[in-house]
Amino acid sequence: MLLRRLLDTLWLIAFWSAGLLLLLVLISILGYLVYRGHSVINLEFLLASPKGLPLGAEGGILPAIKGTLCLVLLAVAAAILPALATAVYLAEYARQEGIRQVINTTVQCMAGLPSIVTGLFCYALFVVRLGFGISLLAGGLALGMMVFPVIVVTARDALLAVNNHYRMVGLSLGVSRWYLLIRILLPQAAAGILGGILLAMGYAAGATAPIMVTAAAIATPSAGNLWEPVMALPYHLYILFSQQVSLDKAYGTALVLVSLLLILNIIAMWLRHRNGR
Amino acid sequence: MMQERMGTICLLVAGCSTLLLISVLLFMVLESWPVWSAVSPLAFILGTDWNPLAEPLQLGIGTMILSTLWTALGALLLAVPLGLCCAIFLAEFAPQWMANILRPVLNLLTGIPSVVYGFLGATVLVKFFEINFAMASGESLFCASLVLTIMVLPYIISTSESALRAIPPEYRQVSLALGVSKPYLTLRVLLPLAKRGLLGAIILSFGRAAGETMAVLMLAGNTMVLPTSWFSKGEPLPALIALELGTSEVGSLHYQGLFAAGLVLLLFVLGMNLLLALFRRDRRSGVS
Amino acid sequence: MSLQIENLQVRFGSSQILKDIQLSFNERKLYAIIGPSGCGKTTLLKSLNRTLELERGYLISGKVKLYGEDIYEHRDTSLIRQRIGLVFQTPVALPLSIKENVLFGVRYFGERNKTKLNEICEKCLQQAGLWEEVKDKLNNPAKELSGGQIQRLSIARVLAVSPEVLLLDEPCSNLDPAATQMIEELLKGLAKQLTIILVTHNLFQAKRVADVTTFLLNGQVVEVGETETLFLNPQKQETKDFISGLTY
Repeated sequence: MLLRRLLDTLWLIAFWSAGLLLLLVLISILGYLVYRGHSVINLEFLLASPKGLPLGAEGGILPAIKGTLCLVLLAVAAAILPALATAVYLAEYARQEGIRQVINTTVQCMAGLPSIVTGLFCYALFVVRLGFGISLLAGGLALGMMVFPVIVVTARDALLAVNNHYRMVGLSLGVSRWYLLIRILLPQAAAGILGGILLAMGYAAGATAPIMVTAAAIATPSAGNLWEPVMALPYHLYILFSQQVSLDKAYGTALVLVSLLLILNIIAMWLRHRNGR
Repeated sequence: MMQERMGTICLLVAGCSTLLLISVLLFMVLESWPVWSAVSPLAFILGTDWNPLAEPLQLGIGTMILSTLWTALGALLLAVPLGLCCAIFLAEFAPQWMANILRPVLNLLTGIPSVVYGFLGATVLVKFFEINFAMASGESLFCASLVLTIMVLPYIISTSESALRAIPPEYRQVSLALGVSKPYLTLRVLLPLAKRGLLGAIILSFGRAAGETMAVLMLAGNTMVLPTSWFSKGEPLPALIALELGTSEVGSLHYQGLFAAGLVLLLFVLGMNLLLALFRRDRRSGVS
Repeated sequence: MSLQIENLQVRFGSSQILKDIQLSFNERKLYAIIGPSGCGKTTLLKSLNRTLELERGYLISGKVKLYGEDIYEHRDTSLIRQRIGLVFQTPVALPLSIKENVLFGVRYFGERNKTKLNEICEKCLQQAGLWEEVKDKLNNPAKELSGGQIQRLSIARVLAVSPEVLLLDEPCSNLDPAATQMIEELLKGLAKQLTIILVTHNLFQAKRVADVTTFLLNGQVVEVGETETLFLNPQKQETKDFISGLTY
């Protein structure tokens, strides 16, 4: 009995420390990034182009911020309509269990697709076969393919969370599912869907592997041309570190990237939480 | 009327996503086709020499597969016990305020991009090994596993937590009424009941860990030597593809070899996901 | 005869919920369907305007004729549901304003004219006995209303698409006696214009409002009759037992 007590206590300690460890990991990651990165961040860092030799050792990261913004917007623009249509089908229209299961499994498999495989596919298709070259467009489409399942799943769940009484009452009046969707269900699920889109944006902004092979460049004069390579924050961070350009600038870039993503994630969480009520 | 067609349109669009997934698979097969006639699939997977520029060229990804397995399995070895403890803590023991802190923490951990994990791992963990173990360079499969552990933890935790929460409360009441302690109840009753869900969580995170690119690229050392232990250097498959794709000549056997490697990775991860889908369906039909 | 049911059968999985139902309903009358819970009353009602098929797993066979035309042969379910309105047991306010709740179906069926829409809104709210209470706050969210008010709003919402038959599934079971009385008065008034079929587990309610009462047991019609006759002089033993509260 004494042994039992002792074991129980040990397990309790294990459970609590596992939970606390998680908290500690996040705090130390963020804390360390702030500690090492904050001194680099100033207005010049945010608003200037990379300078110095090797390039990036001096100056700032503005083109990378712009490039990431372009990539993310392009990705969401490419994914949003097909993803919403798929989510609407899954939540509202799917009557045949078989088809629904196939599509649900597809979405799950797409979500599990390693990002480098997505990159490989998009490289072969867009960059080589279709002749886009390493470009913003190819990268945006690759990221679009990556965030597609994220938007589908969040939008589907947001729609399914809407009170089912609305569906029964609406449909029993004789209105079509589409009318019901536009007037009632979509507005009700809007916060959750928007949260999902922000989540997808954060996901796209942080992805490195797909753009590394389809879109990214070490330096570009301008951002925003669809047919030109772009700089991007995560790739810039990778280059600064792996080419040993400047560790300080790398910490600064990482801090900017993570802060951006945390803000996106927090807003997304708040929106999706609101949807649940 | 237009409105009645919207359902069909949505179905068509949704169907296109399935087509896209299939076309990814077909495309990989197509692009890598010449490789399979040059090298037998078995030799490709088991061969340990990768030298696509030499004459005669050697295409074997055995070392990379082994590195992938070391890092991914190693990450699971660390992440599964830790993740289970966290999940149990969240589902059964954590007071409400603590759970309210930890759930957002999990979301934020998933929100940090892999390149940042890789970067921090490389500057902190690798340095730590270099200084404390007097190693010339601290990169190793073990380092990659450590960072992957943190990256897959949120997936393991949230999936296992929902598996635990899905257990009807009657089991808890009945057992507690017998006078057993809560940790005993959790380990002896709840864990076995949630077995399938927990296994699903492990499969999911195995696929994630095997497909992760940036962190392993920055941490595993990238040498093409057959890894003999967890602590040697290696080059997992995704890292190989990311590193060499840009320099391979389009249409060469090197290029095609990378697609073959991608195909192997894709088949593996798809297999994991289909297994998981099968699992989930089984479980659903199992309950009422 | 406005609505006629012939050989209606409903199965759910392996269990037969409705067996061989034969019933007919006339214009401008109020029908009550009574029976113990689980006897298939709600299923019967939902199968009369094709909302049952929105739920998975039901197999429906037989005929339901609306003025001679089988609704299950009809391709346009939308038109059927518009002509045969259904009010659910739970009062549901759509997440819109009071006015938009009433006009929800009307707008779908194509009415655009502003004055016309306002007229319909006022007329239906008056028919539902809600106008006086809400006329100053038509643009407020409907969820601010009380349960009884929302149920009357639901009735107004159905009336707004001008149905020929009105089905009600225990509309008062979640309401207090005052609200119940209001709805009963309202139904008696409406029965002067259309066919009303009211499912209820409340025998007194059936006795108070219905012209004709049907007793349903285990998915079968046991007895149909003028309400007064049925309650005073039931023909079947089961009916006798049920209305005297002996069994079930």
